[in-house]
Amino acid sequence: MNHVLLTALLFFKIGALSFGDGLAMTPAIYQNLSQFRLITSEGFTNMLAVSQITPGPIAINLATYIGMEKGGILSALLVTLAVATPSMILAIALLKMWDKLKDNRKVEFFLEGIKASALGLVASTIILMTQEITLSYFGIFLILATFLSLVIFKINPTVLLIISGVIGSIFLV
Amino acid sequence: MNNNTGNVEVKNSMLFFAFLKIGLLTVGGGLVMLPIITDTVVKKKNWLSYEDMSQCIAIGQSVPGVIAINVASAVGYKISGKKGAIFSSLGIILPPFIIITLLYGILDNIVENPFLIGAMKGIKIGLIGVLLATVYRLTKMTFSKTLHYFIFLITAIMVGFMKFSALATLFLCGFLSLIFYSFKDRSSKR
Repeated sequence: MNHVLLTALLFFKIGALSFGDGLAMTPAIYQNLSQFRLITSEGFTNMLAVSQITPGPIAINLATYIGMEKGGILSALLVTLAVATPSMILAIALLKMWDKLKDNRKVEFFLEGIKASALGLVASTIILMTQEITLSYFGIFLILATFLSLVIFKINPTVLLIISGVIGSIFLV
Repeated sequence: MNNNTGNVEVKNSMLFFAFLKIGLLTVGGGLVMLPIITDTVVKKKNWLSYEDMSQCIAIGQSVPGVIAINVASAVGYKISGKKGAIFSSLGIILPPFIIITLLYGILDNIVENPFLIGAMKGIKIGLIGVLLATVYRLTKMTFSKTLHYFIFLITAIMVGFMKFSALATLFLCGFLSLIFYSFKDRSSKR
């Protein structure tokens, strides 16, 4: 089969089957692609490094990068849409089902637990992020400063992130 | 809930640009884009309530796929249907797509640039603070019972520290809540 098509199909499969954040998806991407010799471990390590410093979801970055490598911009587009499409379909399907079922009392109880737990999952992401980077006192200060600027002074989060980036390029080099 | 039918065109392009900004500033992907989505969609534009937003966050984590796209699709769909979902998702996809296709070839050298690495480190650290503020705000707005805080805490500990599967934990908490309320329901009827 055509390499580009095979890559797109594999990405579609990964998008439809794997749960969890980008970093949970990367092993699946590597395993699936290397199985068909579409990627080498060295090449993948490079791509991963690129994906982590470019903006956007890691799975999208990897899809675009690998698509570019396999056949240029159109292939990149195909592979990127392939990994994103299952997400869109499944999220809309669940949303429709949720809105239809929420009047049922039992379902309502269940969903209330899911909603509270989903925020707990966001908190767990914060925990994982703090483990991933080595936090200095300066880093902790920066976290507190952004938190307070948002909660107390209601500064725009986009502005805060840009400032954080500038501070990082000066002090964290 | 907002179900405005007028100006759908404007809304779709607004959705697109709102998510374009989010796609540009999300380093690492996934849930880290939540703060800007919540800020834009709930606070600034008033397109969704905090309640709707936490539903979208839950959906984002209950279906397989790219979490950022899951949440963007749910938010977009809630605001303006299927088209809304498509425009929001395209907004998330486009920045990384354009950056990687344009810089492909020189990207391997850019990875070594210390200033860029420093900037990305800074953004990641800043994101932690912004994310904390979002969780703080969302829990304050949507939690009303002790059970909510209890579920929140055990989820954070189980997944964050003990590395339990996120999906399994999510469903476990759903059942926990179902059992708790069913009991309460029954005892209040007596």
